[in-house]
Amino acid sequence: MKDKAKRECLHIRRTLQELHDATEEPRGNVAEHLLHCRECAAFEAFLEDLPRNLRGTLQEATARLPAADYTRATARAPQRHSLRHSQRIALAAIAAGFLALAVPASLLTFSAVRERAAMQETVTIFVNDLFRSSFDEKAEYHKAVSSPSGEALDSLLNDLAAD
Amino acid sequence: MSARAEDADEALARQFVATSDHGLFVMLVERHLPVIRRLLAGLFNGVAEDMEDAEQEILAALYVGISGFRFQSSFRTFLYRLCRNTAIDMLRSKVRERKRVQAAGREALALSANSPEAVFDPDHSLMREESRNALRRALASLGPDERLLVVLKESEGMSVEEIAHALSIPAGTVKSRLHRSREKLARLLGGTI
Repeated sequence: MKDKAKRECLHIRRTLQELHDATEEPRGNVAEHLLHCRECAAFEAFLEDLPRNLRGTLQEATARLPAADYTRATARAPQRHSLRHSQRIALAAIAAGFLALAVPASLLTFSAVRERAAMQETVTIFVNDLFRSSFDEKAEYHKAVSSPSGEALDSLLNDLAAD
Repeated sequence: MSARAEDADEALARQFVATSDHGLFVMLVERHLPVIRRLLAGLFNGVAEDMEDAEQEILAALYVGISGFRFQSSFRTFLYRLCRNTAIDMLRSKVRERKRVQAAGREALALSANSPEAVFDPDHSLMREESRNALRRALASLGPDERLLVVLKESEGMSVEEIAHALSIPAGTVKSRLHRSREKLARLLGGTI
């Protein structure tokens, strides 16, 4: 029962805020609830008084300020401008440094990737050729084309035969 | 603010950008100075020294930045964004602000705890000095963005949509933040307004 009443109050206060934002008065079941709920009525009074109270409080705080010092502010403006200018230069320098490092690095990476792909392709062709027809036939062919003496492949074939 | 007033702002801003006439700059700022000062009072908890520093910073930023204004939004929107960004940058750079907020929050909570029923008295039509201080402290316990929203809505009478446009945030966000902030203020100010 208590929880239900609490939920109803939460709902009413949310509605009160909606009405306050839309500058509308409470009506219907909201107005009825306010008649018997002291807390929600107090919340409504708080919302109603808040603009006047807040403005009064802020106005009071601003009353202590002297007249705006335009001369000082505009005299500081060129400093601020040059600061922004130097900030831009610093940013540009950082960007240039980054590019100087990043571009060659990415070019190196790119060429390394290409070289690796070419090697992979060569090896793939070699292996495919090797197993397309009989092993001995192709071994003889590659022995003939891979190196003038064919010694390396010879020793490999011997090793394989020994195994 | 009416469309006519916005047109006048734009005309003054354009003339100032074209001529760099100091008088035009003063005229333009004077039209908005009371609002700027109330915003700063809300953001800087009414501390005159901080408000003056922020005002100087905003005027200098405006003097330089107005030449970059493209007139694609209203001058007021441009000015409020500038105020918000400058003030919040200043607040962030001040470590003492955090301490002040924490102290104000504790103080306001203590005030709230001292009033057992935490109930407002709607019969009080005049705010006493003590109540104003309590409101100032309660406001200081909100985050800078929440403070700004509450000031724009409650003190300056801007609609949720106007605030959303001026600060480039969704209207739903403005509304939910406002609801939370007002609930917190009401809780902290229980029995003091």
